[in-house]
Amino acid sequence: MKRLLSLLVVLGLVASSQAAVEVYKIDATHSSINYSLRHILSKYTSSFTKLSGDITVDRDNLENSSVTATIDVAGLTTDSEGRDKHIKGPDFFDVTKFPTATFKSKSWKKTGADTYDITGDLTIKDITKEVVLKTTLLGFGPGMRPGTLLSGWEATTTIKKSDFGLAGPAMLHKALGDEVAITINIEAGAKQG
Amino acid sequence: MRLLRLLPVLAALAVTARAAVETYQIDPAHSSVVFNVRHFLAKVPGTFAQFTGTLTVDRDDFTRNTITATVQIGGIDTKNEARNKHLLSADFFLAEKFPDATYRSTAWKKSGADTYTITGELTIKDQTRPLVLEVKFLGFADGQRGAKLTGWEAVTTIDRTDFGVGKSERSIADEVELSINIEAKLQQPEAPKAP
Repeated sequence: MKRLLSLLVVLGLVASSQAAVEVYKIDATHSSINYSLRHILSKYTSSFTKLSGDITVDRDNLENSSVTATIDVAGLTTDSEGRDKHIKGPDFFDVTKFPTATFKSKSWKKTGADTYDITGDLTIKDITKEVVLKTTLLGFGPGMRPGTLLSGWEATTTIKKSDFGLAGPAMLHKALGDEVAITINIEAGAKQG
Repeated sequence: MRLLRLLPVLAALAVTARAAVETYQIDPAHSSVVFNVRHFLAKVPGTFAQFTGTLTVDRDDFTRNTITATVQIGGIDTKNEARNKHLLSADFFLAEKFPDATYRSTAWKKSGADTYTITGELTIKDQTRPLVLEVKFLGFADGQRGAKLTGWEAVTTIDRTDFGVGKSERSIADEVELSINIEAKLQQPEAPKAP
């Protein structure tokens, strides 16, 4: 009897810890992965907006949260068709061979009131490297439709093009530089439990 | 005789003085007008892909610089066709009637080693309002095929409702952050054609 009771308590704990976990789906319409690089002097900015993914949030302890995302690289558009073709061609992303990039978090570390270092694996062109996303939780709130929840996130990181086989032709690589600054805006929605 | 020897010097001086004010044309392929608007919580970016502009630079005194630019509203891109169309409609820009936004600087004030505060006038939907740009000078550089380039960055925030671009809503913030990246090319006299 006593064992059964304690088992029930344990089960109860499991249930309550499950309840605290919410799964937010990234809303691609209101999310973006923006990158900027330098062309000689001025910054050039564009964004990936075809993405999907889940953020599993433990509101009691955000360090238990996780995120996975898939970016449709083939869906990239800049403001120039010629540039789109070049970026998606064999010089850079080679999207016929590598149509998607992925990110999978391995750890969330609290660094401030609303800030987290999310360490994870970024895979582009089948090359996987660890990156740290400096992340700010913007908050949780009700969505447009009743019974829906939203969460908002911002994150920044810097990657090296050459790390992922994206250096491109030597002259362009020199003009654009190796460092790419990335800013991520995420709005993700969940159904209220 | 002495005057004759002086002539080339005088001529050179005159040329230098004139060269102090240079006219640069904005290169849209390497420039961008990016905006960010908060939707509930997250920032949603967009760009105006089509714009033209002229920058005059006085290398001796940047506070005498000027900039004028015209942005074609029809070039708005938020990476979502339905949203782009909605933004161009009467709910927001009414682009059919007001196809362009324009900016004209009225004063450049030095605010730091390489930074300037540009005061000017922004016109959207025929509404003209003062707009201050916080500007950073990135430098001068040589581009391809002998091009002389200059680079600038600017940020500012506008209230879209000041210009009648949509109404206040819970889901879309009034404030719009603008981030402008400019690479401009020196307008050079046409090279004489080879015989």
